[in-house]
Amino acid sequence: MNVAAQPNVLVISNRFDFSTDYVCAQLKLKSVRYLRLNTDQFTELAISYDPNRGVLSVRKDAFQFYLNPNDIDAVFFRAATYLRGDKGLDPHNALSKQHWQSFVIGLMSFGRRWINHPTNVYMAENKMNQLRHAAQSGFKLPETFVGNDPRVLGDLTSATSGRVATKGLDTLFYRTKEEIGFGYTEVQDASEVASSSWAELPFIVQEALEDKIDIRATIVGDQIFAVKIVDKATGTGIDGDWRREKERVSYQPTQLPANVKTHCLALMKSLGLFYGAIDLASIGEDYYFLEINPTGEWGWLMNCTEFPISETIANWLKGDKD
Amino acid sequence: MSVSDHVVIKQIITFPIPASPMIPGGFTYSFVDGMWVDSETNQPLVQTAHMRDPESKKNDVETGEDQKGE
Repeated sequence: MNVAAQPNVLVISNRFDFSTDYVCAQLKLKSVRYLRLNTDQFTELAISYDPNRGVLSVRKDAFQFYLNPNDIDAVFFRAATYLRGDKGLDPHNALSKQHWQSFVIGLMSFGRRWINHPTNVYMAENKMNQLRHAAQSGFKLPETFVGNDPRVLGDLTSATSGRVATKGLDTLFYRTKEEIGFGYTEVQDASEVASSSWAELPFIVQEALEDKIDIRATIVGDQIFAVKIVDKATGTGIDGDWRREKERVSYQPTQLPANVKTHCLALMKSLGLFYGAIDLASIGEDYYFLEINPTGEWGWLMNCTEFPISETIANWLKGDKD
Repeated sequence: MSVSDHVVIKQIITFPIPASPMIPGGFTYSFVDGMWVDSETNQPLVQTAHMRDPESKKNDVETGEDQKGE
């Protein structure tokens, strides 16, 4: 049995999260002692936690790791904080997944520093909560209502376009045995929205932002890596949800105005996050906050921007910069 | 009207269940290194030309830009 050197960094992810691979490659390069636990591979491991001593034993094949909470300095957390719509599982497998989820939450006793702590991720993912924090951090928001009261449409309809944007309060995602369902942000005529049903679930309805440029600002600590997302052919912004047009967009590094940077960092501090992916929309000189994702992807930015995001994360996990 | 007529439910798009992410031949997941590596050289997949341009979605599943840790 090979007893591995005591890790100082714990990584909680899943094996197909390649963003985590980028960070682990940096950790290895920097000779950091780390252990990556993938939520989709727990059943391949032999795991035992001793709450009296606080020690976690993880064994796979000929390898044995002991995690002592006093030695785990930092945790890189890339797992879900709660399960969403996994209806494809039979009840017993669903129970298995639920109990491993509980185990992951139990790992909160490890690590002095987290990217990001699960309780902060849980709160920050909530769009109502993050919108309020964004407003309090100084960000401009589109006129927004959350709920199921159709009377708000009158306050929202753009004077110029008569259109509004609608999106789920939570991720609009479900899975059955046969298919996956996903909902993007939709920009449509207010009359279409008015004729639909409202009562059954709360959602977000906002003034439509016309002629916008989408911006993704990836925050790591106090460093901000921002790109504009524009039509490759024309250099103009994308109407509606740019994720539906990925084949025709390009990502151009950009600098944010000083006040917007201040708002970004204030929001991160307010939500207790070290890492976050913030979506903004710029119209002329105005920048609007749309949403923040505390577990957002960044690997897609690396090839076109050379942003050292993975290295910056690894440096913080190592303890080079707090 | 039913829940299916709801504003945001109506805008849901369905996709077939995707296959698991394709890993190039010759690469395996290393528990010790905590990443996918070349089976022969141990070089990280993400540092090779075999690594496709990372998508904005986790596990290449189309759920928008981020799959919120699923």
